Amino acid sequence: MEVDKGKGEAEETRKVAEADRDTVTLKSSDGKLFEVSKEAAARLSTVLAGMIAGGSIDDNGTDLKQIGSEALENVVDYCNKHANSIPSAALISSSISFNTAPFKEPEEWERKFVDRLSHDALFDLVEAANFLGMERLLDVTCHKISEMMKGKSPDQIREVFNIKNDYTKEELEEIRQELAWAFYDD
Amino acid sequence: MDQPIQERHRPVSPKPSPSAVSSGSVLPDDILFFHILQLLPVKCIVRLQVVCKSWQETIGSTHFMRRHLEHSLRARSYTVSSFSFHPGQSNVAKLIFIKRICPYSIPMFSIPIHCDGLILIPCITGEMFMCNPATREFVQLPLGTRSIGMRHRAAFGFDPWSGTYKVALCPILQRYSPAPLGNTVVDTRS
Repeated sequence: MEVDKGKGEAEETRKVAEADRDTVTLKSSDGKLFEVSKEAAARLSTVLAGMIAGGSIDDNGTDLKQIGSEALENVVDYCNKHANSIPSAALISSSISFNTAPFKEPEEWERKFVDRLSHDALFDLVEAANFLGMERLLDVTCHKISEMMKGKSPDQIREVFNIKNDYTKEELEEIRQELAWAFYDD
Repeated sequence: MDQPIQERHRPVSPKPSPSAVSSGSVLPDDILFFHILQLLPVKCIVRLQVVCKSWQETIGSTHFMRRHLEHSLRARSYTVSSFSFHPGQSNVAKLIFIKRICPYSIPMFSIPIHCDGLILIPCITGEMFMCNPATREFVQLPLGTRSIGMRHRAAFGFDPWSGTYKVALCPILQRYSPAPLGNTVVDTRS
């Protein structure tokens, strides 16, 4: 392995040792440490893959200041579960490889994985997935949120997303009349 | 910097700033609109316009609609076959009547043509109607310039250069023959 001669031996040894480990340690914003399979992390997260390839993974815990411990625990949990479900995933993707649809429906275990999360945990996981460049996890969590939005009234939506209704009563009446058809069930 | 106030207690990490939150929602707008709302059916999205003004603005934007259409086109194939628009059946006439676009009469319409879920209904007499079954909008298009006394053929498509849908009306250069009305338009089906 070619290594830049300018770098010290200690550095070199450290890097080799790191490359030998098959897990990486991630540190949440509140200082908790989580271990995750290096292979799964690199495969599922473009950001972590870049960090691993670039050698910027810290043995004592790579700081992820944007992600809280609850969300990071879910991220790690997802990576591990994903690693365990590789055979079925590979099977499914090979059998429908001609399907160019941008989004594949969540698998059973992915559905279960997001179903048990509270709204807040789900939102935090969406942001963590976005931050880490985890496309599949982002798809799965966003899909769950869209499903959850389907049956909700505007009031419920405002509550879930913490949004203030800035329409006046008259404006609201007007727009509701204009869009009346959308409020009837087919 | 002013961060929108989070009223609920959320023990988690502080919001990353740049892309984040402008509508005051718990999620960054980019994720909310272009990852989540994109997945919803049209009717549901239309309803969400009453949530707040910034949602209405984004949902009504050309950018959002375009992205939603692109997503729908890739994700599944919608068909409009359940809408019968054939001349002779009365659904179109009913629509024109309900919308009171032509208060005095219902023009004779010919075979509709469609593009990306929009339906153009040209009439023998020159009027043209555009229908969007997903949003239930039905409008009459401006008449445009026509060559008087000539029959016209309509064409309709998306112009990626300008990002708009365009309707072209082309006079048919042939001598009038007393063929049954509608014959010339049937050709546009191919």
